[in-house]
Amino acid sequence: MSEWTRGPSASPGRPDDPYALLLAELDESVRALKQAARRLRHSAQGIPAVECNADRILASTRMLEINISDLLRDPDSLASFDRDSRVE
Amino acid sequence: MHSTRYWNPILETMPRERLREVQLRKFRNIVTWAYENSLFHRSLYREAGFEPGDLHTLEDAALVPKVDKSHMRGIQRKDPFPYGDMLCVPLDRVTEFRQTSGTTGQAVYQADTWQDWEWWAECWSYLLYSQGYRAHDRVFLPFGYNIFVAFWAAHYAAEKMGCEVVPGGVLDTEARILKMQELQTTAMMATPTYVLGMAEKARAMGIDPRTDLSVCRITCAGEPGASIPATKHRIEEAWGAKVFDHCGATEIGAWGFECEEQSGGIHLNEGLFLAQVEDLETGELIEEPGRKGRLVITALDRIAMPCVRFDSKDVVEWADGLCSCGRTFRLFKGGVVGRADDITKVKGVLLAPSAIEEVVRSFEELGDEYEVTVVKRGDLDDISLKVEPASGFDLSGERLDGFLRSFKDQLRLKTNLGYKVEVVEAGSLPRYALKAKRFKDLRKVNGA
Repeated sequence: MSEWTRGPSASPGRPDDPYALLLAELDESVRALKQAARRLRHSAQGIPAVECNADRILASTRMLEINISDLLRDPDSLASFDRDSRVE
Repeated sequence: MHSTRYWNPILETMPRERLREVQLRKFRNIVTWAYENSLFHRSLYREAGFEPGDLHTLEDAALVPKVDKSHMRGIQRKDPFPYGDMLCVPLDRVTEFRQTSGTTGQAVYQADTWQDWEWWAECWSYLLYSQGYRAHDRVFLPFGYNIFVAFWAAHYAAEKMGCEVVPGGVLDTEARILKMQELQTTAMMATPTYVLGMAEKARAMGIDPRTDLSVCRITCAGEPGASIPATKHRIEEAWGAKVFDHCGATEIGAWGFECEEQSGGIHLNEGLFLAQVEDLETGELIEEPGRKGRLVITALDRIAMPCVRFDSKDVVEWADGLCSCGRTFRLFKGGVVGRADDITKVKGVLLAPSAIEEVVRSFEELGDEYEVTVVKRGDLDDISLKVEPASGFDLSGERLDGFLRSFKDQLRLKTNLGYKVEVVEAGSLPRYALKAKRFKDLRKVNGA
């Protein structure tokens, strides 16, 4: 039996998709994390210590999307940063 | 969550049908990203009459023009300097420079953002976790920490997984062995050539890697050796450790790994990569096991210099069925079995250098090193092979005659070719620290 078919959060509505509930829960947390890091990045007012560390968190958050959120839907962007935001 | 043998059980055990759906979405996204952000890709696709909107199924992936090293060399050193217009992000978002080793020509420059570098570590995390690396491991990395990508991402992945990483950068081989002994390191990663060379050096120092060192797990990369049974066996015997293969490239990423089941192949990480295998001569797509072809591969999440339908020139063959480890990622039988540009016709016979290595290292009378030379004599190909006796074996007189008969028989059996074999003095053949160059085709050099 594969890991998938004996996953920990079998959904009664999707017997073929036991990870559905877990994926949805994890995805919600990833989204919240990304939103918070973006808010931090945008409100940094040019403070390098905040901007650069927020950028790192966003890059790590993108890895969580690749592992979790992208399995459910397309990301809003493949890049964890705005192409126009410069690193000073 | 229960304990797991997978880095990401959701992705690694996903039913194939769903996995293919995810791959199609991701493939469309990376192709669109490359088209919208890189002049190089946009021009390439438009010249071929292709638009990202043409992608409806994974079979449509074959419509996307391939890229190879020559494309990358062609744009290199142009703006944005030094990467050229394949770059999809502003230069101030590039945090990593690496270049290829230049084994097959001019070195290729590679840019990565920090996000890409996180992704590199993510690729390596999948493979190290599948090979049993855990937070309690103390991992030794005996490589140069220089301009080549080598095991850099392995370092970051092992850290991410909680391992203790010991960087053996500028130390020489002797110092590395002593440090491994002192720290009782439990795992290491290097090329098969270097791992064998380290064992030889350790024994010369009076240190038996099997009993005097604590390494129980070795990950090899950079050469096909760890998937060549005789070479894998030699390394495992020399170190008393399990040896795992891994495949990747600077331009692609760390795309393949042998898992703990060691079922005779390497997994393609289909969560992060999409691969097609094409017939070496016709380019026809190969989906079934039993036929060798060249690997054309896409990194689904790499953004600074996207790797879309890259002709890796690696020769692979799909394995039959899935691995007993439970992963739904397909396997390549025997790993990368050669390079499209290494597999050559000698006396009209297709020859993969790895087949010679398999024979050489299956003879206990022989050392690890060998050298193959192909020359043209008149209209005929001439292939010669130099080998060294293993320590403690006397290959002279009648013993030599007997050995040569049996050795040449095996070579003919495995490669369908006859060789001029010379047993040279132990230690006289070149030793290599990174990628070895043991196969020398001098036919073109000779002007033939």
